[in-house]
Amino acid sequence: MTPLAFTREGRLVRVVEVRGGRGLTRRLAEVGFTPGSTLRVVSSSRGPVVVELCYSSASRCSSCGSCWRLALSFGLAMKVMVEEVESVERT
Amino acid sequence: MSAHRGSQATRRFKLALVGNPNVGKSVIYNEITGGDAWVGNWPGTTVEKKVGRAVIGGVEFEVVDLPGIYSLSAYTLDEEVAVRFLVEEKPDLVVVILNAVNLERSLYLLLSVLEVGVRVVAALNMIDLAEGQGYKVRSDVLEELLGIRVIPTVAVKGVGIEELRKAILDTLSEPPSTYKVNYGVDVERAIEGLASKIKGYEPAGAKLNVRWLASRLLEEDKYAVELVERLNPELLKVAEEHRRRIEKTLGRPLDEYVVERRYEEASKIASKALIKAGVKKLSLTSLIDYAVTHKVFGIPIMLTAVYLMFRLAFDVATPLCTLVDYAFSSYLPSLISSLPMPEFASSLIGDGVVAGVGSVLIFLPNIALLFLALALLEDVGYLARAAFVVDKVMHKLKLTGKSIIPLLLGFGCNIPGVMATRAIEDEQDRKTTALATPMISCAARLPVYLVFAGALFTAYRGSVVFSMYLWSVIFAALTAIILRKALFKGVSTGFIIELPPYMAPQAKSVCFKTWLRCKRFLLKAGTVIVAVVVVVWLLSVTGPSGYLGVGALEDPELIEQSWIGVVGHWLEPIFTPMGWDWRASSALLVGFLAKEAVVGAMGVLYGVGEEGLSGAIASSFTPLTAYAYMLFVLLYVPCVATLATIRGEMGFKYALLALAYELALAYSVAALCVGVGHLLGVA
Repeated sequence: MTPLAFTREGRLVRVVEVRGGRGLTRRLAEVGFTPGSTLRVVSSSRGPVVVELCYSSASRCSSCGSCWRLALSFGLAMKVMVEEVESVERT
Repeated sequence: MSAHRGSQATRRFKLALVGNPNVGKSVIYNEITGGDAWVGNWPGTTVEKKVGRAVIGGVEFEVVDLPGIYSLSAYTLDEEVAVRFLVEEKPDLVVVILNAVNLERSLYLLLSVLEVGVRVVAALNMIDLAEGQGYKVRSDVLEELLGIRVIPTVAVKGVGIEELRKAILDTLSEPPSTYKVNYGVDVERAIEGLASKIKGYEPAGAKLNVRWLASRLLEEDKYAVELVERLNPELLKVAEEHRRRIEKTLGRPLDEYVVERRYEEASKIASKALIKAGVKKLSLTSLIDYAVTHKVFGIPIMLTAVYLMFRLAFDVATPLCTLVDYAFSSYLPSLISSLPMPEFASSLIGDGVVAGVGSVLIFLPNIALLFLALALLEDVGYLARAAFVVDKVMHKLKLTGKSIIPLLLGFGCNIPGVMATRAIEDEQDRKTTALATPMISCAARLPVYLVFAGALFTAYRGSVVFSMYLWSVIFAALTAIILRKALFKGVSTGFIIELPPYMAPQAKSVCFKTWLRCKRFLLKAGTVIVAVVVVVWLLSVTGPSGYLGVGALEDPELIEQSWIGVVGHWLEPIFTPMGWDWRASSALLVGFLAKEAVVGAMGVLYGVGEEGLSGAIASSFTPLTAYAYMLFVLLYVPCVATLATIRGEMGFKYALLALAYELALAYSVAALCVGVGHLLGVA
């Protein structure tokens, strides 16, 4: 389990937990960071992180790119704990 | 409802628009209202409020555009404004705009709105994009599952708008939504128990949706707690007991669980309504994002975009500015002086009012083009990326990526810059940015640099002017760091920025945004600056001895007797260390009111007009004192209109703080500049 901020580009990860106060956990949950949701790390460079959340197919989505893209500040990305689902090469 | 029906002919119905950010809400708003909008603030906040009028099938509507939000949980200011409106103002109908490309998240918001118990029509927008990405959304399935009308639309092309208008009219006679998300046995039981307790305290005729209130109370929603506390504080204790009991069974926080249940419901509905039609195309968004958010290329790309934006704003605007300048400083004044009028009145109108209006309009071409360029970048989807790209740099300056937009606008004029800080959610970040923005060298300061640099630094003119812009950025950064250290110590809560898919800009939407922002600038800046120029005029033609006559505007001997001249003399000793005479001090006084007026005022004070000013400056300043003067003009006090804007956005206290801070900073920097210069033996 690693903070989202330290994941590498192109990886598919699953949210394990969000470590924040009530307000923060909830704010993140409402934009899609709920435990169990999968997301794809689009860009990550020890700064803000761009992730892609995919709902449309409710399953793995590795190439559509049409899903919701969110940029998260480094501070927030440190609070989202994730585990890697599989390694996928960037397309 | 029956009460509505009887008086439908005369009654104006209240319609609210709700949707996620970037869902095309403004476009639908324009389509429904015809673009007419009253823009202001929600009471007690800086959240923008847009209200317009629409007539649909002979029925009159007041249309309220609620801020773009993801949920109704009163966590952010935008959400609080929206939920308050829905509960307290009880709109007759709510149009929820869904994003076909992001159905699940849109449905989450829609469910939250349905739970409030209002009449809802949904617009399923951007169906063309969804189809382009290889799937279809079945609006009929959504209608059946949700029990409301769902109209597919492509708002930017006007598709589905007629159907939407018709659905609005039809739904008006339907009962409000009774949609319920099932939260599971334990929570449902608690909601029921709590709801019946709340019902007991409900004032007659309040028409509260007690189920909604009870469920939100269990979630500890800030707004629900506030509402219930007003009914009876005892209820909070009951809710607390329920929550503790449920959390023990669940083994986790209740609000998290509730959000998750709502999300589950949303995704269940979404999966039933979505049909995959074909093969997905490789998304353009991915490709562009790869380039523009790139570690190495991201910043150069952003700088290029900003550079092009400024070229557009300043190069294209120059002929327009010249035209405005000609109209207001040559054509109109000579026209007015040719009219049969007493000298006093003619000067008041010509040198006061017309000059004042002119000094606002002279910036309009620059600012309108900056607004246009920003609206373009925003609609294309780049602005969100730019904020992301610069975040790392801005973080070092203790600002956020979102601060970049106010700071960029500040180069045109500080006023729209300060106003644009509204988009920053974090209170501390917002205030820091708003107070750093006036350090950015606006277009009004440029003429001062040009005259001084031209008079004393002929060979290095360009570099000297450029150095001023460099200083302005340095001091803005410094100000942010100081404010963060001294005043706004809290840690920034961090940002979540949505990166919407790239889209071709729509002329309609870009023009509308530009026009709305220009209008607001003209209203805000216009009133203050025109008033200020009239005051400067008045202070120039009157003095301690009374009315001096309008000749003072051309006669250096006479203007020395005016208030402007007299105060300049009072100020002179303060500026002696820098080597500035009373005329330079008087010009600073004028510049406090409006910085673009410094050059004109100096022309009058030295009795040479603007044409001979270079010579006059060259003889009364040395390169060193001139450079210090330019620094002082850059830093000392934001103009009155900017101060008024700071006051409007943040309160009187902060306007005073900005005034005091900038005066002190400008004085120290100018004195330091002269001191260091002398030490180094520069004259």
